[in-house]
Amino acid sequence: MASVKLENLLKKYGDVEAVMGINLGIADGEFMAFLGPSGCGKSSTMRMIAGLEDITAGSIYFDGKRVNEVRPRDRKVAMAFETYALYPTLSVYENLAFPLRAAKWPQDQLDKRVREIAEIMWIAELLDRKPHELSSGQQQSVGLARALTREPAVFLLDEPISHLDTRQRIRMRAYLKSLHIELEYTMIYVTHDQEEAMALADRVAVMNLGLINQVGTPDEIFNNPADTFVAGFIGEPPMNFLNCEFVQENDHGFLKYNGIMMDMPPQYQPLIQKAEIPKRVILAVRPFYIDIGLEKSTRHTIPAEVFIVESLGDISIVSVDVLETRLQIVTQPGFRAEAKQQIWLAFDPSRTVLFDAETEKAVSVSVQD
Amino acid sequence: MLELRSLTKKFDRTIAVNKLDLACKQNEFLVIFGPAGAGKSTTLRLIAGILEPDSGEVYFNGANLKNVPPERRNMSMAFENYALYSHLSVYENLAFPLRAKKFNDQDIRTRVQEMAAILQISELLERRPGFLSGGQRQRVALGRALIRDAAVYLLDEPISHLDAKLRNRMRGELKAVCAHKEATVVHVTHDYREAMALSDRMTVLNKGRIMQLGSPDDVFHRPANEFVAGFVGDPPMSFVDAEYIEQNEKPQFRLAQKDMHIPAHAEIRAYVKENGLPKSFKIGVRAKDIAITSSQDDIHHVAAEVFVTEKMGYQNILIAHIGQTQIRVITPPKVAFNSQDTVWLNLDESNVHVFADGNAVLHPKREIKLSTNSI
Amino acid sequence: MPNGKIFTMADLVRYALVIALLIFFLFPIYWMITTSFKAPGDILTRPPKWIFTPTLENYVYAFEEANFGLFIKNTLIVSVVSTIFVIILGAFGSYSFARYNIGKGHLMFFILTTRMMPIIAVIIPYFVIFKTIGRTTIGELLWLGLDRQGTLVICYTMFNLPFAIWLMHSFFQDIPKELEDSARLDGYSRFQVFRRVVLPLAAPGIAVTSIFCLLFSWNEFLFAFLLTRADARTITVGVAGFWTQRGILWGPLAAAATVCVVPMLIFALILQRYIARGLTFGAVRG
Repeated sequence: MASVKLENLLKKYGDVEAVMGINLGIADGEFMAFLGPSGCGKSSTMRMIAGLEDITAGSIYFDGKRVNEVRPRDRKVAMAFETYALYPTLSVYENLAFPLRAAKWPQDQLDKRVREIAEIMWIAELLDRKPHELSSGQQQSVGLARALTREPAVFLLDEPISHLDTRQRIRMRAYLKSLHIELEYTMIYVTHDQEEAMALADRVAVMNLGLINQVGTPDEIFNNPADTFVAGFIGEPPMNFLNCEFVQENDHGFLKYNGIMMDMPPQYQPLIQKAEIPKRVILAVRPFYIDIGLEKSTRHTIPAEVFIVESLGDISIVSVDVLETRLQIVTQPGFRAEAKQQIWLAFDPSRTVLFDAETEKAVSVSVQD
Repeated sequence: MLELRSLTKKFDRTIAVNKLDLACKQNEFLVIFGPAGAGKSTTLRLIAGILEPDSGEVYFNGANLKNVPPERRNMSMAFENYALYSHLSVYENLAFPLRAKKFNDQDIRTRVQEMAAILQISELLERRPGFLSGGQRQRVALGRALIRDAAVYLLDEPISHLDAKLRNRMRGELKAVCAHKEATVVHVTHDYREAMALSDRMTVLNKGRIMQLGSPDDVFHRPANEFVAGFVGDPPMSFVDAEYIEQNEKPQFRLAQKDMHIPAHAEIRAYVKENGLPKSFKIGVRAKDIAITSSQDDIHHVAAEVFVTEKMGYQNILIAHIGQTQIRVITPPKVAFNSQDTVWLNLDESNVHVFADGNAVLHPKREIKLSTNSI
Repeated sequence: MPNGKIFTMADLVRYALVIALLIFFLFPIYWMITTSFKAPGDILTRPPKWIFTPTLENYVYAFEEANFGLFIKNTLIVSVVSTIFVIILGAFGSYSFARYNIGKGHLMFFILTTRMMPIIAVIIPYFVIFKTIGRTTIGELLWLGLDRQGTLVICYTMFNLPFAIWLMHSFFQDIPKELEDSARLDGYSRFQVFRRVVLPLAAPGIAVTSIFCLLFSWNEFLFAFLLTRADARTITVGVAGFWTQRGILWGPLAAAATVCVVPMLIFALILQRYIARGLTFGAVRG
């Protein structure tokens, strides 16, 4: 087990910068997820940690020791890939024993270790089977187990469950999480699926275009996104954005969207006096925190026109148009409305986040939960 | 209007579609939903006439389509693998079905531009499919299927390869376009959200057979069997094995592996009286329907051991074990338990489904609140 | 070197090897072309003459004395016409094999076997057949018989067809069936689908196939040698004609050979782009 530190880590492929100088500390025993769309540099970062890619510039430290020049097999890193290449001619037992035989473990220790890991991974009853006799979820478990037999210092997982079907994925998610709790390995997990990252990780590093946009606990990145990219990437349905103008009258601040006036959320009030609110802002609010009123009221002040209502059983998603902007709202199941029907919205002010329209960065204030 | 009668299709020895009876009404959005290999795409191809059934018939407005070739069925189809013409531009791909119907150039241009605007691919019209991303190709494929006026639109996973954000948006657009066209649609998907959101009625398919046919509400709230219950919903429904006993004249369920009882509804007693004791009873609960406390009380009296908690931001998914059985409970984001804590759940007749030998015998009696409050 | 890097020893060896190979393969062509421009006295000297005064003498001889223009015309007619036949018949044939699995593979294999026997094995029956046909009115009308171009067209078509069907088959098979299904649902008839969807997508395959057929017909010797005498004689036989009792006429022979090679070279260069491009790039997912 080890802590990992990335320092100004840079990776170039020819002229293309895949990773553009990132800094990140991962604590011993932490579950860290790298989350981002394809091409954001998350896999390159992981491969550099594993030692499978040369480092263009910067350093990687394991427990404070620089490992740039250490060969992959000496780094005590285990890596699990999206597709587990199990050896088809070998039994599950022999597949698990394979890395140990390569390291010339004595037979009795080897046997003990294989059975131990099989127990932990709940595959003890599969040891005599051949890979083709297993379901894809079981193959996945065996693959993970094989990566773990040598007691790695750091366990890297590259989209390990993304090609399973939904039900298996949900099962494997819980399984991986419990594995982490039980083994207390430092785990680094690469994925493009925000739900997976949120569900699994202690902290999530959201990456885009070779840079880390934000590092934080799932709660932090969900509630206090650092910029519009993070805000839009986390959560399903995604966060709603409204391009507004900041208007000040005496000490009172308003947000104006095409003539619709909205009160400034209270947590931003202190900033008005300090004149720290930019002229053009993006108001962002999650679909979960918008309330719908059928009549205009003191709370429900934002006029909207219903586009479509989608009933998903336990929730309904209402798509509405506020002038030119389409918003999505999550409501109770059973909500009914006709297309083009006029409704009135109320944003939960404490859940509203402002971004500077220029920089797309959050206007800094800590939003209360 | 569109009717499948005892439709069967075999490939070598596997039965892809097994004696399927299904009807789709005029202007209906019918979704065929099921896991991979359920026979969804095969059914669609049988309707289109690209595949010929081994037995059974497809009827359209009362006429048997047995000897009607695909080009004369007036059906339009979007294929899961896109099937774009790589030698033609996006514009020409969209225009292709219209040219078959001898539209004039002006009408073609209007329609293509209209469709491209809806699908947000207007700026791609001059490109060839080879230069598009997967999501863009899928939208072109969908556009080509929807551009002309067909008697039936057959859509095979038309938005499943879009990224989450776009898929969310396209779902709404697709439903709006189809509603606007008053189209009759048969839509295939493996995504339950898509099925729920789009369908007027949905049918759940497994191994070539219909597991349930009904409104999305029916399928979600009143699943006909264990398969449907476990396949619709995220997180999926949790199942706990139960044994039916009568203690002091009171019907009870004893939860397997634990000496715990929950009261059984009178309907269950009636069921047992009428049908005898089934081989197995299972209690099914949706993650959202259960409340959870850290100490036992009258309502919360089923103990479970916390396994892990998944924090999703707007809610937590608590995964716990009742004996060996894993169950999932949705809690507010603030509520967190540690691994191996004991928690107490309120499993009772108001929030559990009961399955006897895999078939539903009881659903929770719920009133659907017509409130507009957000959750 | 890109980026002004240093030329290493390894690079040096690699380039030397490439140059040596190029010389090995290209030298005969170079020699053929230079020989065609040499005067008779300059050709067989020892040591070889590297610098000489070029002359068109050999070309004049080939075209005026040996009637090479006619041979070229014959070859052109025979190879182009037979290739067109092969492509048309082959496209329909291989498409039906690819899509409708006619004969469940057995028929396809049977057709390919006709290509397995050597020309020499069938040439005597062919000779007799065409000799007989040539004497009939039909033979005369269809340009069939000994020393007639039609005969070679038939022979080349028969010999190229199995190969073309086999080659195009794989190209047609690579076209996703959904493309055709989709077009049929849009209301196009089977033939329209074939013309508007399948053929354009198979164009690279058809290009490749026609190059091979053309090359075969252009270079074919044995059929032409035995079934033609003067009127329908083709270039390969014509070139061999410079092997006279008086000795080998190297100059005119090289000139004629140069003329033979050039058109094929140009043709292959034009179609190269087509061959290299991916077949159904972007048509389906994945």
